[in-house]
Amino acid sequence: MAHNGSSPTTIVRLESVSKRYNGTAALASVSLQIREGERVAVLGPSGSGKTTLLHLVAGIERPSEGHVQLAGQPLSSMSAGPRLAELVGMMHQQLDLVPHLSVKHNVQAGRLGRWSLWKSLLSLVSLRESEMVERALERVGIPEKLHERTSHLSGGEQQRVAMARLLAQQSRVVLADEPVASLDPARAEDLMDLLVSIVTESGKTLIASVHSTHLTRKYFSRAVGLREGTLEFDLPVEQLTDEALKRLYDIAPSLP
Amino acid sequence: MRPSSASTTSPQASRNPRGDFFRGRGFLTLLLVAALLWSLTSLSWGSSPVHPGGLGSIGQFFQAAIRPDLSAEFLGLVVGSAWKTVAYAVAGICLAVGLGLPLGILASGVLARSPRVKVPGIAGFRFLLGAMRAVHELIWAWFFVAAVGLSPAAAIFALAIPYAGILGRIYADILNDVPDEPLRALRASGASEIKVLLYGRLPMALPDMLSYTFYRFECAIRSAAIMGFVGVGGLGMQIQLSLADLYFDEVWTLLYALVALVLLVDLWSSWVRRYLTS
Ligand SMILES: Nc1ncnc2c1ncn2[C@@H]1O[C@H](COP(=O)(O)OP(=O)(O)O)[C@@H](O)[C@H]1O
Ligand SMILES: [Mg+2]
Repeated sequence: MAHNGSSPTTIVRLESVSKRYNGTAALASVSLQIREGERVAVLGPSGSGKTTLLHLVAGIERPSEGHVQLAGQPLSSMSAGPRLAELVGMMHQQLDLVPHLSVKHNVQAGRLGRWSLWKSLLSLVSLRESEMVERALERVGIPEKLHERTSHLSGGEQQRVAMARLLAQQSRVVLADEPVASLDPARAEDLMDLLVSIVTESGKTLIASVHSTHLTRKYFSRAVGLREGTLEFDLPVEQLTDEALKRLYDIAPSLP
Repeated sequence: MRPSSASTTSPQASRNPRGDFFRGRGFLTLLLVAALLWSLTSLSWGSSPVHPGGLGSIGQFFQAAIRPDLSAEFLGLVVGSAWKTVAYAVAGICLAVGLGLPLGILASGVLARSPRVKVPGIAGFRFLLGAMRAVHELIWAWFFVAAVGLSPAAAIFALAIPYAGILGRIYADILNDVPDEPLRALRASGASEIKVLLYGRLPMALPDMLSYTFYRFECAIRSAAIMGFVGVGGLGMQIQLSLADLYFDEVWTLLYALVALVLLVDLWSSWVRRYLTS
Protein backbone atom coordinates (compact mmCIF):
# COMPACT_ATOMS: atom_id res chain seq x y z
CA MET A 1 0.00 0.00 0.00
CA ALA A 2 1.49 3.34 -1.01
CA HIS A 3 1.25 6.17 1.46
CA ASN A 4 2.08 9.35 -0.36
CA GLY A 5 0.77 12.66 0.85
CA SER A 6 -2.18 13.04 3.16
CA SER A 7 -5.53 12.37 1.58
CA PRO A 8 -8.46 14.38 2.96
CA THR A 9 -9.76 11.35 4.80
CA THR A 10 -6.57 10.73 6.79
CA ILE A 11 -7.65 10.68 10.43
CA VAL A 12 -4.45 9.58 12.17
CA ARG A 13 -1.03 10.59 10.99
CA LEU A 14 2.31 9.79 12.62
CA GLU A 15 5.41 11.51 11.26
CA SER A 16 8.71 9.84 12.26
CA VAL A 17 7.46 9.44 15.78
CA SER A 18 9.90 8.24 18.43
CA LYS A 19 9.26 7.63 22.09
CA ARG A 20 12.00 7.09 24.65
CA TYR A 21 11.63 6.15 28.29
CA ASN A 22 14.76 7.12 30.25
CA GLY A 23 16.83 6.92 27.10
CA THR A 24 15.46 3.54 26.02
CA ALA A 25 13.58 3.67 22.76
CA ALA A 26 10.09 2.16 22.98
CA LEU A 27 9.25 3.42 19.50
CA ALA A 28 11.78 4.52 16.89
CA SER A 29 10.86 6.75 13.99
CA VAL A 30 7.48 5.29 13.08
CA SER A 31 5.49 6.90 10.27
CA LEU A 32 1.95 5.86 9.63
CA GLN A 33 -1.20 7.20 8.02
CA ILE A 34 -4.58 5.80 8.81
CA ARG A 35 -7.70 6.75 6.89
CA GLU A 36 -11.12 7.14 8.40
CA GLY A 37 -13.01 3.85 8.63
CA GLU A 38 -9.93 1.61 8.52
CA ARG A 39 -9.56 -1.23 10.99
CA VAL A 40 -5.90 -1.54 11.85
CA ALA A 41 -4.40 -4.40 13.83
CA VAL A 42 -1.11 -3.63 15.55
CA LEU A 43 0.93 -6.81 15.88
CA GLY A 44 4.23 -7.57 17.55
CA PRO A 45 5.83 -9.46 20.40
CA SER A 46 5.51 -8.22 23.93
CA GLY A 47 7.56 -5.08 24.50
CA SER A 48 7.63 -4.16 20.82
CA GLY A 49 5.87 -0.83 21.41
CA LYS A 50 2.20 -1.56 20.64
CA THR A 51 0.83 0.06 23.77
CA THR A 52 3.20 2.99 23.36
CA LEU A 53 1.96 3.55 19.81
CA LEU A 54 -1.69 3.54 20.93
CA HIS A 55 -0.95 5.86 23.85
CA LEU A 56 0.75 8.34 21.53
CA VAL A 57 -2.34 8.42 19.33
CA ALA A 58 -4.62 8.76 22.37
CA GLY A 59 -2.61 11.72 23.64
CA ILE A 60 -1.86 9.82 26.86
CA GLU A 61 1.85 10.03 26.02
CA ARG A 62 3.71 12.73 24.11
CA PRO A 63 6.27 11.73 21.47
CA SER A 64 9.96 12.37 22.19
CA GLU A 65 10.39 13.21 18.52
CA GLY A 66 8.09 13.57 15.55
CA HIS A 67 4.46 14.60 15.32
CA VAL A 68 1.06 13.05 15.75
CA GLN A 69 -1.90 14.54 13.90
CA LEU A 70 -5.55 13.78 14.42
CA ALA A 71 -7.97 14.88 11.70
CA GLY A 72 -5.29 17.18 10.33
CA GLN A 73 -4.60 18.95 13.61
CA PRO A 74 -1.42 18.47 15.65
CA LEU A 75 -2.19 16.51 18.79
CA SER A 76 0.30 18.61 20.75
CA SER A 77 -2.04 21.60 20.38
CA MET A 78 -4.94 19.79 22.04
CA SER A 79 -5.27 19.44 25.77
CA ALA A 80 -7.65 17.04 27.46
CA GLY A 81 -11.20 18.12 26.87
CA PRO A 82 -14.15 17.83 24.56
CA ARG A 83 -12.13 18.31 21.37
CA LEU A 84 -9.80 15.39 22.08
CA ALA A 85 -12.66 13.31 23.46
CA GLU A 86 -14.54 13.68 20.18
CA LEU A 87 -11.52 12.42 18.27
CA VAL A 88 -10.13 9.49 20.25
CA GLY A 89 -11.33 7.06 22.86
CA MET A 90 -9.44 4.13 24.28
CA MET A 91 -9.98 0.85 26.05
CA HIS A 92 -7.36 -1.39 27.61
CA GLN A 93 -7.05 -5.06 28.27
CA GLN A 94 -8.03 -4.61 31.89
CA LEU A 95 -7.90 -2.38 34.94
CA ASP A 96 -9.10 0.75 33.26
CA LEU A 97 -12.56 1.00 34.77
CA VAL A 98 -13.01 2.47 38.22
CA PRO A 99 -13.80 -0.73 40.13
CA HIS A 100 -15.44 1.00 43.11
CA LEU A 101 -18.05 2.79 41.04
CA SER A 102 -21.20 1.25 39.68
CA VAL A 103 -21.50 0.30 36.02
CA LYS A 104 -23.62 3.34 35.18
CA HIS A 105 -20.92 5.69 36.46
CA ASN A 106 -18.26 4.01 34.39
CA VAL A 107 -20.46 4.41 31.31
CA GLN A 108 -21.20 8.04 32.14
CA ALA A 109 -17.43 8.60 32.39
CA GLY A 110 -17.38 8.52 28.59
CA ARG A 111 -19.18 11.87 28.63
CA LEU A 112 -16.93 13.63 31.15
CA GLY A 113 -15.03 15.47 28.45
CA ARG A 114 -18.23 17.13 27.28
CA TRP A 115 -19.95 17.71 30.60
CA SER A 116 -19.47 20.70 32.82
CA LEU A 117 -17.87 20.14 36.22
CA TRP A 118 -21.25 20.68 37.86
CA LYS A 119 -22.96 18.13 35.67
CA SER A 120 -20.12 15.65 36.25
CA LEU A 121 -20.54 16.09 39.99
CA LEU A 122 -24.32 15.65 39.81
CA SER A 123 -23.86 12.53 37.68
CA LEU A 124 -22.22 10.83 40.66
CA VAL A 125 -25.38 11.37 42.67
CA SER A 126 -28.05 10.70 40.10
CA LEU A 127 -27.97 9.36 36.57
CA ARG A 128 -27.52 11.96 33.80
CA GLU A 129 -28.60 11.25 30.22
CA SER A 130 -30.00 7.99 31.52
CA GLU A 131 -31.43 7.03 28.16
CA MET A 132 -27.98 7.21 26.56
CA VAL A 133 -26.45 5.10 29.36
CA GLU A 134 -29.19 2.50 29.16
CA ARG A 135 -28.96 2.33 25.39
CA ALA A 136 -25.21 1.82 25.52
CA LEU A 137 -25.53 -1.02 28.03
CA GLU A 138 -28.32 -2.53 25.96
CA ARG A 139 -26.07 -2.43 22.92
CA VAL A 140 -23.26 -4.30 24.67
CA GLY A 141 -25.69 -6.86 26.05
CA ILE A 142 -25.64 -6.19 29.80
CA PRO A 143 -28.58 -3.83 30.46
CA GLU A 144 -29.33 -5.56 33.76
CA LYS A 145 -25.95 -4.56 35.22
CA LEU A 146 -26.74 -0.83 35.33
CA HIS A 147 -26.60 -0.48 39.11
CA GLU A 148 -24.06 -3.21 39.84
CA ARG A 149 -20.68 -2.42 41.36
CA THR A 150 -18.15 -2.73 38.53
CA SER A 151 -15.68 -4.84 40.53
CA HIS A 152 -18.37 -7.52 40.90
CA LEU A 153 -18.46 -8.12 37.14
CA SER A 154 -16.51 -10.80 35.28
CA GLY A 155 -13.61 -9.85 33.01
CA GLY A 156 -15.72 -10.19 29.88
CA GLU A 157 -18.53 -8.11 31.37
CA GLN A 158 -16.06 -5.42 32.35
CA GLN A 159 -14.85 -5.28 28.75
CA ARG A 160 -18.46 -4.74 27.74
CA VAL A 161 -18.70 -1.84 30.17
CA ALA A 162 -15.55 -0.37 28.62
CA MET A 163 -17.23 -0.65 25.23
CA ALA A 164 -20.38 1.01 26.55
CA ARG A 165 -18.16 3.83 27.77
CA LEU A 166 -16.71 4.16 24.27
CA LEU A 167 -20.29 4.27 22.93
CA ALA A 168 -21.06 7.07 25.37
CA GLN A 169 -17.94 8.93 24.30
CA GLN A 170 -18.69 8.66 20.55
CA SER A 171 -15.13 9.34 19.39
CA ARG A 172 -14.16 9.09 15.74
CA VAL A 173 -11.17 6.87 16.47
CA VAL A 174 -11.40 3.90 18.81
CA LEU A 175 -8.16 2.55 20.24
CA ALA A 176 -8.11 -0.83 21.94
CA ASP A 177 -5.06 -2.26 23.67
CA GLU A 178 -5.31 -6.06 23.58
CA PRO A 179 -9.05 -5.82 24.19
CA VAL A 180 -9.64 -9.57 24.42
CA ALA A 181 -6.25 -10.95 25.49
CA SER A 182 -7.39 -12.28 28.86
CA LEU A 183 -10.48 -14.11 27.59
CA ASP A 184 -11.01 -17.63 26.28
CA PRO A 185 -11.20 -17.91 22.47
CA ALA A 186 -15.00 -18.20 22.16
CA ARG A 187 -15.61 -15.23 24.41
CA ALA A 188 -12.84 -13.30 22.70
CA GLU A 189 -14.62 -13.67 19.36
CA ASP A 190 -17.96 -12.60 20.85
CA LEU A 191 -16.36 -9.45 22.16
CA MET A 192 -14.45 -8.75 18.95
CA ASP A 193 -17.73 -9.16 17.04
CA LEU A 194 -19.29 -6.60 19.31
CA LEU A 195 -16.38 -4.15 19.19
CA VAL A 196 -16.07 -4.31 15.42
CA SER A 197 -19.80 -3.94 14.85
CA ILE A 198 -19.95 -0.94 17.19
CA VAL A 199 -17.06 0.63 15.31
CA THR A 200 -18.24 -0.13 11.78
CA GLU A 201 -21.91 0.74 12.18
CA SER A 202 -20.98 4.35 12.85
CA GLY A 203 -18.07 4.53 10.42
CA LYS A 204 -15.42 4.87 13.11
CA THR A 205 -11.78 3.99 12.80
CA LEU A 206 -10.41 1.12 14.90
CA ILE A 207 -6.79 0.68 15.90
CA ALA A 208 -6.20 -2.29 18.15
CA SER A 209 -3.23 -4.28 19.33
CA VAL A 210 -3.94 -7.98 18.98
CA HIS A 211 -2.09 -11.17 19.76
CA SER A 212 -3.98 -13.58 17.54
CA THR A 213 -3.42 -13.72 13.79
CA HIS A 214 -6.77 -15.47 13.50
CA LEU A 215 -8.53 -12.44 14.98
CA THR A 216 -6.43 -10.14 12.79
CA ARG A 217 -7.52 -11.87 9.59
CA LYS A 218 -11.14 -12.09 10.66
CA TYR A 219 -11.76 -8.56 11.90
CA PHE A 220 -9.20 -6.15 10.50
CA SER A 221 -8.50 -4.55 7.15
CA ARG A 222 -4.89 -3.70 7.73
CA ALA A 223 -2.01 -5.10 9.76
CA VAL A 224 0.92 -3.16 11.16
CA GLY A 225 3.86 -5.15 12.53
CA LEU A 226 6.12 -3.71 15.23
CA ARG A 227 9.39 -5.16 16.38
CA GLU A 228 11.61 -3.48 18.98
CA GLY A 229 9.88 -0.21 18.31
CA THR A 230 10.30 -0.12 14.56
CA LEU A 231 7.80 -0.75 11.80
CA GLU A 232 8.38 -4.23 10.31
CA PHE A 233 5.45 -4.28 7.89
CA ASP A 234 2.30 -2.39 7.04
CA LEU A 235 0.01 -4.46 4.84
CA PRO A 236 -3.60 -5.05 3.92
CA VAL A 237 -4.57 -8.25 5.75
CA GLU A 238 -4.99 -10.12 2.47
CA GLN A 239 -1.26 -9.71 1.93
CA LEU A 240 -0.31 -10.75 5.45
CA THR A 241 1.74 -13.92 4.99
CA ASP A 242 2.67 -16.55 7.54
CA GLU A 243 6.24 -15.79 6.53
CA ALA A 244 5.93 -12.15 7.66
CA LEU A 245 4.30 -13.18 10.91
CA LYS A 246 6.96 -15.77 11.62
CA ARG A 247 9.67 -13.17 11.13
CA LEU A 248 7.83 -10.72 13.41
CA TYR A 249 7.52 -13.10 16.35
CA ASP A 250 10.79 -15.02 15.78
CA ILE A 251 12.92 -14.79 18.90
CA ALA A 252 16.27 -14.94 17.07
CA PRO A 253 15.95 -13.05 13.81
CA SER A 254 18.03 -14.56 11.00
CA LEU A 255 20.79 -12.13 10.19
CA PRO A 256 21.16 -11.19 6.52
CA MET B 1 32.48 -12.71 23.57
CA ARG B 2 29.04 -11.16 23.39
CA PRO B 3 27.26 -11.46 20.08
CA SER B 4 26.48 -8.12 18.51
CA SER B 5 22.93 -7.27 19.34
CA ALA B 6 20.35 -5.89 16.98
CA SER B 7 18.69 -3.97 19.77
CA THR B 8 17.77 -0.33 19.35
CA THR B 9 18.65 0.42 22.95
CA SER B 10 20.61 3.64 23.19
CA PRO B 11 23.91 3.76 25.10
CA GLN B 12 22.54 6.17 27.73
CA ALA B 13 20.46 3.31 29.09
CA SER B 14 23.41 1.85 31.03
CA ARG B 15 22.93 2.55 34.74
CA ASN B 16 24.90 5.09 36.64
CA PRO B 17 26.76 2.76 39.07
CA ARG B 18 27.48 5.46 41.69
CA GLY B 19 23.85 6.22 42.32
CA ASP B 20 22.83 2.70 43.32
CA PHE B 21 24.21 2.53 46.87
CA PHE B 22 22.82 5.89 47.87
CA ARG B 23 19.42 5.06 46.48
CA GLY B 24 19.47 1.47 47.74
CA ARG B 25 18.30 -0.08 50.98
CA GLY B 26 21.79 -0.63 52.35
CA PHE B 27 22.39 3.06 52.80
CA LEU B 28 18.98 3.64 54.39
CA THR B 29 19.46 0.80 56.87
CA LEU B 30 22.87 2.15 57.87
CA LEU B 31 21.40 5.61 58.36
CA LEU B 32 18.57 4.30 60.58
CA VAL B 33 20.89 2.18 62.73
CA ALA B 34 23.22 5.16 63.18
CA ALA B 35 20.26 7.33 64.19
CA LEU B 36 19.13 4.76 66.77
CA LEU B 37 22.61 4.45 68.34
CA TRP B 38 22.98 8.20 68.45
CA SER B 39 19.58 8.63 70.11
CA LEU B 40 20.38 6.06 72.81
CA THR B 41 23.73 7.59 73.70
CA SER B 42 22.41 11.13 73.74
CA LEU B 43 19.74 10.48 76.37
CA SER B 44 20.96 11.17 79.92
CA TRP B 45 20.01 8.07 81.85
CA GLY B 46 21.14 9.20 85.34
CA SER B 47 22.20 6.47 87.79
CA SER B 48 19.03 4.35 87.46
CA PRO B 49 16.13 4.49 85.04
CA VAL B 50 13.58 4.38 87.93
CA HIS B 51 13.50 6.84 90.82
CA PRO B 52 13.90 4.79 94.06
CA GLY B 53 11.55 6.96 96.18
CA GLY B 54 8.73 6.41 93.74
CA LEU B 55 8.55 2.65 94.35
CA GLY B 56 6.25 2.99 97.39
CA SER B 57 3.61 4.99 95.57
CA ILE B 58 3.88 2.68 92.59
CA GLY B 59 2.99 -0.22 94.92
CA GLN B 60 -0.02 1.61 96.35
CA PHE B 61 -1.13 2.60 92.91
CA PHE B 62 -1.15 -0.97 91.63
CA GLN B 63 -2.88 -2.30 94.75
CA ALA B 64 -5.79 0.01 93.95
CA ALA B 65 -6.22 -1.71 90.60
CA ILE B 66 -8.24 -4.55 92.13
CA ARG B 67 -10.56 -2.25 94.10
CA PRO B 68 -11.64 0.58 91.84
CA ASP B 69 -14.29 2.99 93.11
CA LEU B 70 -17.60 1.58 91.86
CA SER B 71 -20.02 3.76 93.86
CA ALA B 72 -23.06 4.84 91.85
CA GLU B 73 -22.28 8.48 92.44
CA PHE B 74 -18.76 8.19 91.07
CA LEU B 75 -19.83 5.98 88.17
CA GLY B 76 -22.25 8.71 87.13
CA LEU B 77 -19.37 11.15 87.03
CA VAL B 78 -17.29 8.66 85.01
CA VAL B 79 -20.01 8.18 82.41
CA GLY B 80 -20.45 11.95 82.12
CA SER B 81 -16.72 12.49 81.64
CA ALA B 82 -16.44 9.63 79.15
CA TRP B 83 -19.29 11.13 77.18
CA LYS B 84 -17.52 14.49 77.13
CA THR B 85 -14.30 12.86 75.93
CA VAL B 86 -16.13 11.07 73.11
CA ALA B 87 -17.86 14.30 72.14
CA TYR B 88 -14.49 16.12 71.94
CA ALA B 89 -13.02 13.30 69.87
CA VAL B 90 -15.96 13.20 67.43
CA ALA B 91 -16.07 16.96 66.98
CA GLY B 92 -12.28 17.13 66.69
CA ILE B 93 -12.01 14.39 64.09
CA CYS B 94 -14.89 15.84 62.02
CA LEU B 95 -13.21 19.22 61.93
CA ALA B 96 -9.90 17.47 61.15
CA VAL B 97 -11.46 15.70 58.16
CA GLY B 98 -12.99 18.97 56.96
CA LEU B 99 -9.58 20.65 57.12
CA GLY B 100 -7.43 17.68 56.15
CA LEU B 101 -9.33 16.62 53.04
CA PRO B 102 -8.94 19.85 51.04
CA LEU B 103 -5.38 20.31 52.29
CA GLY B 104 -4.56 16.68 51.47
CA ILE B 105 -5.94 17.07 47.94
CA LEU B 106 -3.84 20.20 47.45
CA ALA B 107 -0.74 18.55 48.95
CA SER B 108 -1.11 15.52 46.68
CA GLY B 109 -0.61 17.74 43.66
CA VAL B 110 -3.16 15.77 41.65
CA LEU B 111 -5.04 18.83 40.46
CA ALA B 112 -2.05 20.43 38.76
CA ARG B 113 -0.66 19.23 35.47
CA SER B 114 2.15 21.70 34.87
CA PRO B 115 5.20 20.97 37.04
CA ARG B 116 5.71 24.70 37.54
CA VAL B 117 2.53 24.80 39.62
CA LYS B 118 2.69 21.25 40.91
CA VAL B 119 6.13 21.13 42.53
CA PRO B 120 5.92 24.31 44.67
CA GLY B 121 2.26 23.51 45.45
CA ILE B 122 3.09 20.07 46.82
CA ALA B 123 6.05 21.43 48.79
CA GLY B 124 4.03 24.29 50.27
CA PHE B 125 1.01 22.28 51.37
CA ARG B 126 3.12 19.38 52.64
CA PHE B 127 5.08 21.87 54.74
CA LEU B 128 1.85 23.33 56.13
CA LEU B 129 0.53 19.86 57.03
CA GLY B 130 3.88 19.01 58.56
CA ALA B 131 3.84 22.13 60.72
CA MET B 132 0.29 21.36 61.87
CA ARG B 133 1.19 17.88 63.10
CA ALA B 134 4.67 18.76 64.35
CA VAL B 135 3.05 20.53 67.30
CA HIS B 136 1.41 18.13 69.74
CA GLU B 137 -2.29 18.52 70.55
CA LEU B 138 -1.44 19.33 74.16
CA ILE B 139 0.65 22.30 73.09
CA TRP B 140 -2.14 23.42 70.78
CA ALA B 141 -4.49 23.03 73.77
CA TRP B 142 -2.36 25.27 75.98
CA PHE B 143 -2.22 27.75 73.17
CA PHE B 144 -5.99 27.78 72.58
CA VAL B 145 -6.81 27.85 76.27
CA ALA B 146 -4.59 30.90 76.54
CA ALA B 147 -6.30 32.43 73.53
CA VAL B 148 -9.99 31.62 74.08
CA GLY B 149 -10.08 30.35 77.65
CA LEU B 150 -11.37 27.05 79.01
CA SER B 151 -14.01 26.34 76.40
CA PRO B 152 -14.89 23.20 74.44
CA ALA B 153 -13.83 25.07 71.30
CA ALA B 154 -10.26 25.18 72.63
CA ALA B 155 -10.17 21.39 73.02
CA ILE B 156 -11.78 20.76 69.65
CA PHE B 157 -9.42 23.07 67.75
CA ALA B 158 -6.42 21.70 69.62
CA LEU B 159 -7.39 18.19 68.51
CA ALA B 160 -8.41 19.11 65.00
CA ILE B 161 -5.23 20.89 63.92
CA PRO B 162 -2.62 18.16 64.44
CA TYR B 163 -5.11 15.53 63.33
CA ALA B 164 -5.83 17.47 60.14
CA GLY B 165 -2.06 17.53 59.59
CA ILE B 166 -1.86 13.74 59.96
CA LEU B 167 -5.02 12.97 57.98
CA GLY B 168 -4.15 15.41 55.19
CA ARG B 169 -0.73 13.90 54.74
CA ILE B 170 -2.10 10.34 54.61
CA TYR B 171 -4.96 11.38 52.32
CA ALA B 172 -2.39 12.91 49.96
CA ASP B 173 -0.41 9.66 49.92
CA ILE B 174 -3.51 7.52 49.36
CA LEU B 175 -4.68 9.78 46.52
CA ASN B 176 -1.25 9.48 44.91
CA ASP B 177 -1.14 5.69 45.26
CA VAL B 178 -4.36 4.99 43.43
CA PRO B 179 -3.82 2.75 40.35
CA ASP B 180 -3.11 4.85 37.30
CA GLU B 181 -4.89 2.86 34.57
CA PRO B 182 -8.47 3.93 35.34
CA LEU B 183 -7.31 7.55 35.63
CA ARG B 184 -5.59 7.34 32.27
CA ALA B 185 -8.84 6.06 30.78
CA LEU B 186 -10.79 8.95 32.29
CA ARG B 187 -8.29 11.43 30.84
CA ALA B 188 -8.62 9.67 27.50
CA SER B 189 -12.34 10.38 27.58
CA GLY B 190 -11.53 14.06 27.99
CA ALA B 191 -11.84 14.49 31.74
CA SER B 192 -9.97 17.37 33.38
CA GLU B 193 -7.89 16.64 36.49
CA ILE B 194 -10.64 17.76 38.84
CA LYS B 195 -13.09 15.40 37.12
CA VAL B 196 -10.47 12.65 37.29
CA LEU B 197 -10.29 13.34 41.02
CA LEU B 198 -14.06 13.15 41.46
CA TYR B 199 -14.65 10.18 39.19
CA GLY B 200 -11.51 8.15 39.73
CA ARG B 201 -9.16 9.08 42.54
CA LEU B 202 -11.68 9.77 45.29
CA PRO B 203 -13.89 6.73 44.68
CA MET B 204 -10.83 4.48 44.56
CA ALA B 205 -9.18 6.10 47.59
CA LEU B 206 -12.32 6.34 49.72
CA PRO B 207 -12.21 2.93 51.43
CA ASP B 208 -8.59 3.43 52.52
CA MET B 209 -9.21 7.02 53.54
CA LEU B 210 -12.23 6.09 55.65
CA SER B 211 -10.45 3.16 57.18
CA TYR B 212 -7.50 5.32 58.15
CA THR B 213 -9.82 8.01 59.52
CA PHE B 214 -11.47 5.43 61.78
CA TYR B 215 -8.09 4.29 62.98
CA ARG B 216 -7.24 7.90 63.79
CA PHE B 217 -10.56 8.25 65.59
CA GLU B 218 -9.32 5.65 68.09
CA CYS B 219 -6.22 7.76 68.63
CA ALA B 220 -8.40 10.85 68.96
CA ILE B 221 -10.25 9.27 71.89
CA ARG B 222 -6.95 8.95 73.74
CA SER B 223 -5.91 12.45 72.75
CA ALA B 224 -9.27 13.85 73.87
CA ALA B 225 -8.80 12.20 77.25
CA ILE B 226 -5.35 13.78 77.53
CA MET B 227 -6.92 17.13 76.65
CA GLY B 228 -8.56 16.95 80.08
CA PHE B 229 -5.21 17.59 81.70
CA VAL B 230 -5.29 21.19 80.54
CA GLY B 231 -8.59 21.61 82.35
CA VAL B 232 -11.25 21.41 79.68
CA GLY B 233 -12.98 18.41 81.25
CA GLY B 234 -13.50 14.79 80.33
CA LEU B 235 -11.79 11.63 81.57
CA GLY B 236 -8.33 13.18 81.59
CA MET B 237 -9.33 16.00 83.90
CA GLN B 238 -10.97 13.57 86.34
CA ILE B 239 -7.88 11.35 86.29
CA GLN B 240 -5.74 14.35 87.08
CA LEU B 241 -8.01 15.50 89.93
CA SER B 242 -8.16 12.03 91.50
CA LEU B 243 -4.40 11.57 91.10
CA ALA B 244 -3.73 14.88 92.81
CA ASP B 245 -5.81 13.72 95.78
CA LEU B 246 -4.11 10.29 95.70
CA TYR B 247 -7.54 8.62 95.25
CA PHE B 248 -6.04 5.71 93.33
CA ASP B 249 -9.31 3.72 93.41
CA GLU B 250 -11.00 6.53 91.46
CA VAL B 251 -8.06 6.73 89.07
CA TRP B 252 -8.49 3.05 88.27
CA THR B 253 -12.22 3.38 87.61
CA LEU B 254 -11.42 6.19 85.19
CA LEU B 255 -8.60 4.22 83.56
CA TYR B 256 -10.87 1.20 83.12
CA ALA B 257 -13.49 3.47 81.56
CA LEU B 258 -10.88 4.82 79.16
CA VAL B 259 -9.72 1.32 78.24
CA ALA B 260 -13.34 0.22 77.73
CA LEU B 261 -13.97 3.24 75.56
CA VAL B 262 -10.92 2.65 73.39
CA LEU B 263 -11.76 -1.05 73.04
CA LEU B 264 -15.33 -0.21 72.10
CA VAL B 265 -14.24 2.27 69.47
CA ASP B 266 -11.63 -0.23 68.29
CA LEU B 267 -14.27 -2.95 67.86
CA TRP B 268 -16.60 -0.60 66.08
CA SER B 269 -13.93 0.83 63.80
CA SER B 270 -12.47 -2.55 62.88
CA TRP B 271 -15.98 -3.70 62.02
CA VAL B 272 -16.47 -0.63 59.82
CA ARG B 273 -13.06 -1.11 58.23
CA ARG B 274 -13.73 -4.76 57.46
CA TYR B 275 -17.00 -3.72 55.88
CA LEU B 276 -15.28 -1.02 53.81
CA THR B 277 -12.48 -3.14 52.45
CA SER B 278 -14.56 -6.24 51.65
N1 LIG C 1 6.05 4.04 31.28
C1 LIG C 1 7.15 3.40 30.86
N2 LIG C 1 8.35 3.59 31.46
C2 LIG C 1 9.45 2.97 31.04
N3 LIG C 1 9.50 2.11 30.03
C3 LIG C 1 8.34 1.85 29.39
C4 LIG C 1 7.12 2.47 29.76
N4 LIG C 1 6.14 2.02 28.94
C5 LIG C 1 6.74 1.17 28.09
N5 LIG C 1 8.06 1.05 28.35
C6 LIG C 1 9.01 0.22 27.60
O1 LIG C 1 8.83 0.47 26.24
C7 LIG C 1 8.89 -0.72 25.50
C8 LIG C 1 7.61 -0.92 24.71
O2 LIG C 1 6.55 -1.16 25.61
P1 LIG C 1 5.04 -1.35 25.18
O3 LIG C 1 4.64 -0.26 24.28
O4 LIG C 1 4.24 -1.52 26.42
O5 LIG C 1 5.09 -2.73 24.38
P2 LIG C 1 3.91 -3.75 24.04
O6 LIG C 1 2.62 -3.07 24.32
O7 LIG C 1 4.12 -4.08 22.62
O8 LIG C 1 4.13 -4.93 24.90
C9 LIG C 1 9.14 -1.84 26.49
O9 LIG C 1 10.52 -2.11 26.47
C10 LIG C 1 8.72 -1.25 27.80
O10 LIG C 1 9.49 -1.79 28.83
MG1 LIG D 1 1.18 -3.68 25.74
